[in-house]
Amino acid sequence: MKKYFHIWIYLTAASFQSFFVSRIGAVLFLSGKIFRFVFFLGFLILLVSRTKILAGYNLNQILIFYLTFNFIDSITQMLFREVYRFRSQVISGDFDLILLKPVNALFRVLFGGTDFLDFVTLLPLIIIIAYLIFQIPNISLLGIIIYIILIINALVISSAFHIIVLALAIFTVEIDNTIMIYRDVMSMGKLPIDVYREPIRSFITFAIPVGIMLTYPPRALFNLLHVHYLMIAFIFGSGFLLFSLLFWRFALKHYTSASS
Amino acid sequence: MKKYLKIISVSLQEYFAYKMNLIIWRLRIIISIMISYFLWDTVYQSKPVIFGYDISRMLTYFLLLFLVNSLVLNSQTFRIAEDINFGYLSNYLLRPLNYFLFVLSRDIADKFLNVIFSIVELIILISLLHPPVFYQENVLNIIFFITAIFIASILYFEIGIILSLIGFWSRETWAPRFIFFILVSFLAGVYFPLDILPQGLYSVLKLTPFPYLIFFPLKLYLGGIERTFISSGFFIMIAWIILLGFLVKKIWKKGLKIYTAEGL
Repeated sequence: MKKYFHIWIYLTAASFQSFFVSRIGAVLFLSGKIFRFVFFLGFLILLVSRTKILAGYNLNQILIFYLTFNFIDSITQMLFREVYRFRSQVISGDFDLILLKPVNALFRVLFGGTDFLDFVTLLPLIIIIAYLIFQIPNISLLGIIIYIILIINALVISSAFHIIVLALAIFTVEIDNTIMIYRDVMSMGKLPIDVYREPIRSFITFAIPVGIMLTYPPRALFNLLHVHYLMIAFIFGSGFLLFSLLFWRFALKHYTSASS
Repeated sequence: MKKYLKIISVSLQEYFAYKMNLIIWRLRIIISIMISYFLWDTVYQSKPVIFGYDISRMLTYFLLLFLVNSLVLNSQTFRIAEDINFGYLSNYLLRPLNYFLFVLSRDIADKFLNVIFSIVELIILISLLHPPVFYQENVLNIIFFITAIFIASILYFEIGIILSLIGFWSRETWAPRFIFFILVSFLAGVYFPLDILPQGLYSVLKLTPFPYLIFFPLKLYLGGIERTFISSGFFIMIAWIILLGFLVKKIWKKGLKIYTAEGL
């Protein structure tokens, strides 16, 4: 465990150094992300200020949904940046070099490019979420604890998704945009899933667990989530992670090193 | 002319070689537009008219966005930057063709395919969701709508070229494009009709090229637009096209002087 922590620090430092190679590009990308966040936030405030209620939630609650989405999305992008480069490593044969090293290959391709540029967005998000939580009446300490646990569960599901994307990249080289599809589907969770009609709502709750990942935590915070949905969320999280790990092992067994 | 038709045909074949990428690209567009569609659909459950739009006009706005998005915002101009950065541009400069007409041909192929897809998607979504669609019966509005889409495509084409010509001076062409794409998403009317914004902000925006890419054509279709805005809108679009056309020419000439065919 300690060894992997040191490796992660080393890889993250190397990834951070790459920021200095293309400073302007990195700053522009970060500015773009901040623009996108602020613009959509402004739009939600404009809209819900006019309607007062959206899908049964007031403005502060809607903002918590949006901020929770951004928080989970930022952490995911920060941690799993290397996944975006994996396909090219398979095609070029560079993945062989990773397999030969005395480090778990999944760890290397999942956490090998942690991007601390996204980290700067996390602290403001936490501060705004905390401020809004204090603005909403009747939020209990238990609600806050379950909210945090469900966010961790969302990160587990997100890890599983990224592992599946990695495994898929071994099987097929034609799917260029699998990870982008994941991100687009996840972006449906920047609004509460109550916004979507059936059967889309059920589909993005259970088939593609946007609801479990992004809507359940704020609902638990507002004391609107029944306990059996909590159980479903945790069972799904652990089951999905297990499935992704088995799928990864299965994919590795079928890796042919054809490109090297 | 014949050679450019051939380029269109080859570009189309190129797309069919990577069918899955095209399908995934379309899926991504469907998801992004559907988020706005469902958001507005929910908004109208509590009020019949919001920001001066009834539900049929607002949902039609987002359904037609499929079509306008495919015609205006789908572009291959980003490949100009790759041509410059990897030295491929030299190959094109040596050939007996106009590079910009070559780029335009690639763009036409791209738009053609995306429009076909968007029409099919539109039919499927209308039959699945049964939205209250607003049908414009005034022929003049439809003519204005089609004309505005055509002019907006030229405008976006020029903007795309300028963004890619940064490649002459820097390899960082994706970051400015990323920022521009985000600006377009919000300031062109991809997420909401721009006239819901505070009046002062809306008036300033009308002087920029952004509203004329998406919002203006859609507003022309939906009607209820002031006559002065129709004429001033077309005037501003054409003014921007002339200005950007001049800039493209100037930047291209300057860029070619420092082009080193790096990467070849």
